[in-house]
Amino acid sequence: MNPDCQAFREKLSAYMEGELEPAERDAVTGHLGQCSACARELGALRQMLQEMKQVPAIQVPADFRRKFWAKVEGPAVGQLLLRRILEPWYLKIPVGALATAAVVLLAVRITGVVPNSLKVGRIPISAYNDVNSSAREKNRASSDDLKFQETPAAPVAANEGEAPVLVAGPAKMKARQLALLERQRAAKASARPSASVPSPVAGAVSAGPSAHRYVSPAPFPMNTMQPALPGLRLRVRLYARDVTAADDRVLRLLAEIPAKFIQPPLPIHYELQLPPELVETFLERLKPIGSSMDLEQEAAASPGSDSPAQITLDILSFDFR
Amino acid sequence: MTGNFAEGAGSHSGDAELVERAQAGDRSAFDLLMERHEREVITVAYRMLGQYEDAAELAQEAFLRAYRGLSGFRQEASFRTWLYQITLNLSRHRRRWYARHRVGQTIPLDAPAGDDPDGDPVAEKIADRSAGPREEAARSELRGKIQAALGRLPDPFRRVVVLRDMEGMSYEEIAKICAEPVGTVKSRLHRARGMLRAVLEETSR
Repeated sequence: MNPDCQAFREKLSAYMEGELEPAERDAVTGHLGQCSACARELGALRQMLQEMKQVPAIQVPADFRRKFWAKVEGPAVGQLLLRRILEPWYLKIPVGALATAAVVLLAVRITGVVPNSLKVGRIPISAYNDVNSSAREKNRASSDDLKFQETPAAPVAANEGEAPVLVAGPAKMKARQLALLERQRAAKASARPSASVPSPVAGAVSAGPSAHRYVSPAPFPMNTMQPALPGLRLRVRLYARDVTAADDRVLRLLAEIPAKFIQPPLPIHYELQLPPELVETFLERLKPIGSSMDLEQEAAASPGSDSPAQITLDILSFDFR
Repeated sequence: MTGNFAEGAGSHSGDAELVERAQAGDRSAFDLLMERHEREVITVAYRMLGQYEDAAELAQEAFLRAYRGLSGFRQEASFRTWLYQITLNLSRHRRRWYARHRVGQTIPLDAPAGDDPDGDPVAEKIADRSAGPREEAARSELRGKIQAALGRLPDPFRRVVVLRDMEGMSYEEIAKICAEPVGTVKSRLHRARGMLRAVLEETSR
């Protein structure tokens, strides 16, 4: 190629489009008149562009929009992961809370700290009372997550099959949860008018006799297709009428987890560091505090005994190890 | 001139109204927007990626982002421009991922331009343009060559040449999509065409 040709060739596209200055354009025209190689190149360029325009569009897969709307309806990946972690409770988590929680989860993975704790409201054993309020006061000061505590006892009755409630973040979430549970309770109460359900109103019932009954969440099928989890580190805080009862619950909860993985810096404040092989067990153990049957028997064996209204398990933070 | 050009900006005049309806929560309006644009989005994604399955998936993702970002979309640009921006951004990220994972770096230029080296899955999925078999074969070969050559262009050059010479967009529209001055778009286009010619020349030898 003539050394001049290279410079001309770089201008051929602009020349073709009529975008060159008049002087430049004339120079190219002149060159093309003399140089058959560059004239051929111009032809080849035109040919290429013509061919490019003829390359047809790609066909859209038949189910393209159907798949799209399915994705819109479906949970995001973060939500799926969260569900995997909070499996026993997820059936009760509204999508909005999940979205919040998914954000929290992402924050956890980046910073290792949960900005707003996830709160797991356990089903009440009986009416809440305030024996433990000083401990809660202390915690209130240390955490920004205690809006939950401002309505001391969740108005939930000991309904069979009731799953624990997870409340994430803002108080309005809580309000929605409560409204939902109230409705469910009312529905059940009207269905079985003879069932003696203790008044769930916060603080209204203090140590009244009640059905000493624990409730297991609905069984949840493990999805075997889910990927294995890494180790899980959890910091949890437990609220209950008295610390001993809480301890007892926790120890029962965690009975299968070796003590070395449980570090209680405070009686009601646990740090759990679980190796991968124990995560599954932990999640499994968290599902029921005890089976309904056992607990009903227990209640029958000790009639009139009172217990905390509610055990609240706050997950302060969790991350993967 | 093919359908690509006929479906230019002018036919999307009703988009703004559909966007408003979709913003107000009307799903059927967004479905209509998708119907209008899905083909060009998939097509551009395919031109950028060279893999049909990935292109379809990427187009889904682009629409999902548009859908979820709809409330923040102020219609300062047209919906189509916005959609192209999303699609091209996703394509760029995907291409970087390819580069990191060494995907598709050694596609021989005479190979069919699909993800299946044994067949030509793309050809089956490309709209039937009712050409004779010989013509169809020639076109299929051409598609493969052009697509493979496009794969050798760096992203900014590739997108300009795709939008202008394959999708038939105006310089102004491309400039908006790429957020660059028209002059930059023009000079980049001319260079991209030269690069493409060089690649095709090299492979036809």
